[in-house]
Amino acid sequence: MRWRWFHQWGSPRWFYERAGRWQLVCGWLSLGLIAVGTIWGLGFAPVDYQQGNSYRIIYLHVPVAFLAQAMYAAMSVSAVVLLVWKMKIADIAMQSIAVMGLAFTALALGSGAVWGKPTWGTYWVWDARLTSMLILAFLYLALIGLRASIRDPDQAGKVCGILVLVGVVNLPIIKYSVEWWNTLHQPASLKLTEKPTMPASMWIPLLINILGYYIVAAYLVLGSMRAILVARERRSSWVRELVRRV
Amino acid sequence: MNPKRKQRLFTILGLVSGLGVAVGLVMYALSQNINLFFTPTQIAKGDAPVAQMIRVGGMVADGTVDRDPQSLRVAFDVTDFDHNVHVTYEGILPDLFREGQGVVVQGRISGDQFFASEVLAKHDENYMPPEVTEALRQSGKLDQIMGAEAK
Amino acid sequence: MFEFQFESLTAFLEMAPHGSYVWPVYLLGLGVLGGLTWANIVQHRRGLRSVKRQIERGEKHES
Repeated sequence: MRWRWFHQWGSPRWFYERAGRWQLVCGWLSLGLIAVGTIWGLGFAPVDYQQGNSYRIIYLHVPVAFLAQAMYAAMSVSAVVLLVWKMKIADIAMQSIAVMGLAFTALALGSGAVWGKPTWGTYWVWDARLTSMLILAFLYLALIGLRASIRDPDQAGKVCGILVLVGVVNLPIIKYSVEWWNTLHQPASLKLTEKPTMPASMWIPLLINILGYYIVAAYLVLGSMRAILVARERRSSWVRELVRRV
Repeated sequence: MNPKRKQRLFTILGLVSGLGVAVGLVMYALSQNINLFFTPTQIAKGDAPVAQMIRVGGMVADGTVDRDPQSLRVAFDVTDFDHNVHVTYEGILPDLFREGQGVVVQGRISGDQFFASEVLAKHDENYMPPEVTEALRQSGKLDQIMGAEAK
Repeated sequence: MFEFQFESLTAFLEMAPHGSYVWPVYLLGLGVLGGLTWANIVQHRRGLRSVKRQIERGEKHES
């Protein structure tokens, strides 16, 4: 009884229907939040005393960089659920998050490079933060490649799950790279435990965007999971019933 | 949770923590290579290789920037408030380059000079509107904030 | 806090002197998020359509 909330996730049909509803809410909510946060950040937040307007890239760079790591954490939770409970939906979650995570990591690297040029004077430097983020991108890429190269989905899930867990060690390295080693990348401006190192007029829109990007990531992952679910379960009776109803 | 699942969970946790420790040790062993730059104190102690491409990081010391009016040549001191490194450079400086600003310079040590081939600006995690900076400067609090950062 | 920081719309678009850095980043972000949304929809529809065809073929077979 205690585990029912958990085991109902094992039902693909239950998930497909719930996820459809959540997706709708997430989609519109994130659109609203990101629109407000981005317009606020680009037009209404004050200019920075040193960096001028180039710092406005923060309103995209910081949320996507957060998400690149948070999605890997979510993927490793899925990997544990898959390896311990053999729950299929966890495998589909891993598959979806790998693609979305790669996109967010690429955006974080790309926006960071464009920001780096006017502020640091270079697009790229091999410091610990940038390098560990590049490794994160390659981990996501390896997961996508590995899955594509193994035909049996159960086998692919197991192998990918193990690689995901191996890669978890990269997460604390990314987070603490700016403190453990000397890097060109500056330490975090927003921390859970400390006062932000910027005024409210700058961090409120940033927080709105971080929230918005979390929700848009949920929207994208749910959408991708539903699409994969239909493809994988195409022979099951609930999918056929679903198609007949439409 | 049935015993089989519990066993799998512990196997996984064991593997990940074991791997974490292994990677941690490797990182610790390599930490000198992972660091992007040497500090002026390390240079003064002779920890940095001579006549080899290295990076030095620190603050541009106040009142040491000397620009050649005829060319792009510039000389300045990089400091960590214990030791200084005298840097000469010829080329375009990043917009954020100024006295009191963090920089990372790449180049070679030669004698007691450092010949830089690239100068990168390092900025801190503080963001501020210009009016606030001005107000802080007038009340003398800006140095407190920036000084705290430097340490 | 809610004051528009630029004197005109052109000044906003110019975002002097960093417009050429800031705007491409946001366009890229919009493109990536929009592209992923679109790809999900296409993949989902394709899956449903192939099931539909499968069912139709099955029915033809039976009759």
